[in-house]
Amino acid sequence: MTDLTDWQSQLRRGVIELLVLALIDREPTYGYEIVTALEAMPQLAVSEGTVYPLLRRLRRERLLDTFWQESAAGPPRQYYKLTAEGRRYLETLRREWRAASASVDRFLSGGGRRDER
Amino acid sequence: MTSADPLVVRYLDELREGLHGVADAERREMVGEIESHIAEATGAGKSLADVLQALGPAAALARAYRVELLVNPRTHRWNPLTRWFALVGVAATASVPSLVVVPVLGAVGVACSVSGVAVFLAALVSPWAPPDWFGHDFKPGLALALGLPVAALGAVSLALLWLYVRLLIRAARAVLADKPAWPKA
Repeated sequence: MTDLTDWQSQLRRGVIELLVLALIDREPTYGYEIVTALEAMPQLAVSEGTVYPLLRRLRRERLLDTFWQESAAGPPRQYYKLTAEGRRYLETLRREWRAASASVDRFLSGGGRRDER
Repeated sequence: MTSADPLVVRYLDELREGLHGVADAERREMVGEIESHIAEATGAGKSLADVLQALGPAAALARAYRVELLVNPRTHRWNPLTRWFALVGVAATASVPSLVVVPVLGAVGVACSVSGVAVFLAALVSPWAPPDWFGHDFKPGLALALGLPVAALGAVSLALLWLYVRLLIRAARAVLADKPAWPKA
């Protein structure tokens, strides 16, 4: 049987930004919570080595803002929240995702043939 | 306490070293966040070995940070109000030299081009023109000799004016363009 690992990995990489922003949009959260939330959905689980650099890049692009909060578990936690620009970007990603996933579904169910045009 | 564990200390040191070149404050934040992650994960019952394995080698994590920041550099984006002020600033800065350069080059360019061509053509047609078309002082030879150089001077002035305007447009675009911000080397 063909190994799907690479394809699944690419699929996750393609949507991870949308998922992380959508998670943070629900409420301000921190890195470990984001990783754990994604782990809870095996199809969407990505490694910490992907999530943390992504969070750093999104913050640099001013799509996310951060604040530190003391934690009983140990060192302070760095919480992330969406900026106004982040919210606008997330809405754009959501629209693009809906359009893309609808197109893929249509195509897979036999639509998009040449004779249909 | 986990963060005092030699394995954790070594991991964070390697991560810190791998992030060499990143601004100090940002590097401290990155390392602090990973330290916090390790503490949270082990506090939730995971073994330190599993947590570190899930994070991957420190050097690889540092490389992932660098790749993410280098391949997708932060872009300084103007907000509309700041962009408007920048445009006003460019226009104000360019206005002073433009008050001199544009009228001078424009006037010289147009005047010399038109007059040079007119004088040259007049010299060419003068042998066949009715005698009262040109005054007694008109010297066709001189007009023929000077007409083209004067027209050329006018053309050069207009070309310089065109170059000046292009320079202003490029300067405005350069100031107003969104700029990528690369991590410090």
